[in-house]
Amino acid sequence: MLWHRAISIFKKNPTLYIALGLMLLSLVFYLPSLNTEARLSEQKVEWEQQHQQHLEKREMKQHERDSLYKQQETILEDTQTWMRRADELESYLKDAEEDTENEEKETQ
Amino acid sequence: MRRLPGPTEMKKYLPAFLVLTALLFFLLGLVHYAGAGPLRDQVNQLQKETLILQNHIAELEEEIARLELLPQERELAQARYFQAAKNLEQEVAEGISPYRIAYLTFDDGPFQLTYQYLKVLEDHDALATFFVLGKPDYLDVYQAILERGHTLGNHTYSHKIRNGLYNNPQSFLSDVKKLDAFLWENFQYQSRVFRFPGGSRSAGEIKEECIEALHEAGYGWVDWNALTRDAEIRGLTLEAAYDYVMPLATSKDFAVLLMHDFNSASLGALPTIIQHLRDQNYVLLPLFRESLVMK
Repeated sequence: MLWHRAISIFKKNPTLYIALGLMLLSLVFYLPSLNTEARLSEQKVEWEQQHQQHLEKREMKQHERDSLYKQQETILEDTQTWMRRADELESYLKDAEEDTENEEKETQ
Repeated sequence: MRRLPGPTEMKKYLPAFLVLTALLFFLLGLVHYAGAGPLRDQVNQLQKETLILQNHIAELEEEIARLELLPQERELAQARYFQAAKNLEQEVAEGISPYRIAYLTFDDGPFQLTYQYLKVLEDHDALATFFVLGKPDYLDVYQAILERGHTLGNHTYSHKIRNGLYNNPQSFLSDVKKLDAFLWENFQYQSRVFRFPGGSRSAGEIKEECIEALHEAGYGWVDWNALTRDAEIRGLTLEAAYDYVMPLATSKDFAVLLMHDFNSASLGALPTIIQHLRDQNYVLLPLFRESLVMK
């Protein structure tokens, strides 16, 4: 019923209603465009802030990494020195084991 | 004069007017969208760059995490060394090792001469123990001792044997803790080995209470059983230093040698002492809390 009534209203002046439809469509297209620039400007500010924060964070991490790299050489050298010292002491322990084994063999 | 259109004629032009207005709005919309294009490109560019930055930060964090593990590896290597030292001590104590152990200890430092002691020790690849006092003017020397892997022992901050150190256990402990705080504040170093200024006998009647306080604070302590007498004899020669210390040291399976790193006679005798101790099968160790000679 409602549909038939709408058709009959449309048939009375189709040009007018087609024009009205076009007008509405163009408004639908136009109105959101009004806000686009403002919205993108806001987004740009937000992303600029984020970008800046990430730049600062990267810089901080690079400093941290660089300072650790500087220490790395000393730490690696230290580690190797302690390993060598430990190897040396452990070799003394082996000497003791070998001596005991030799003594046991001699006793047998 | 032309007549103005009436309402019926206006109605006739309404669709055309509406279509023209629609066209106008459409064009305006296009202009807005086109105008926002560069801005959108900028936002997209920023998004891409931020993403790249995020990835770079993640890579850096991974690298940092890997680098931060290195000190742990050093600590593991150190722990392995001290475990081996402990095992060796055990074997020597049980009499199943062909070796004996000597601990080189230097009291009352640091001094400027300590650098020369460090050089001798480095040349002979030997580790030792420095029982230090609190000397803010010698921070670089403490650092040099630690960097070379030697043990820093607590010898109290002031060493004031005759000025109240052994008045009571509280005055004693507060001096010990003062050096603790000094070492921690400057080097984040926590010492666990202690030597009484003047030896444990100097503590006199309060010795047992002092020992209890030391143990409660996590310390072990040690005296010595061999010395060069470099703090007792003026004009000591290096030969005299050597001749006195060696018979004392070599008569023990665990020799704890006392020297003072301000003394040039002990410094001169040190290379020979190290060499001859090694010739007699002594292994040189720094002191550590779990050592068998720590009480």
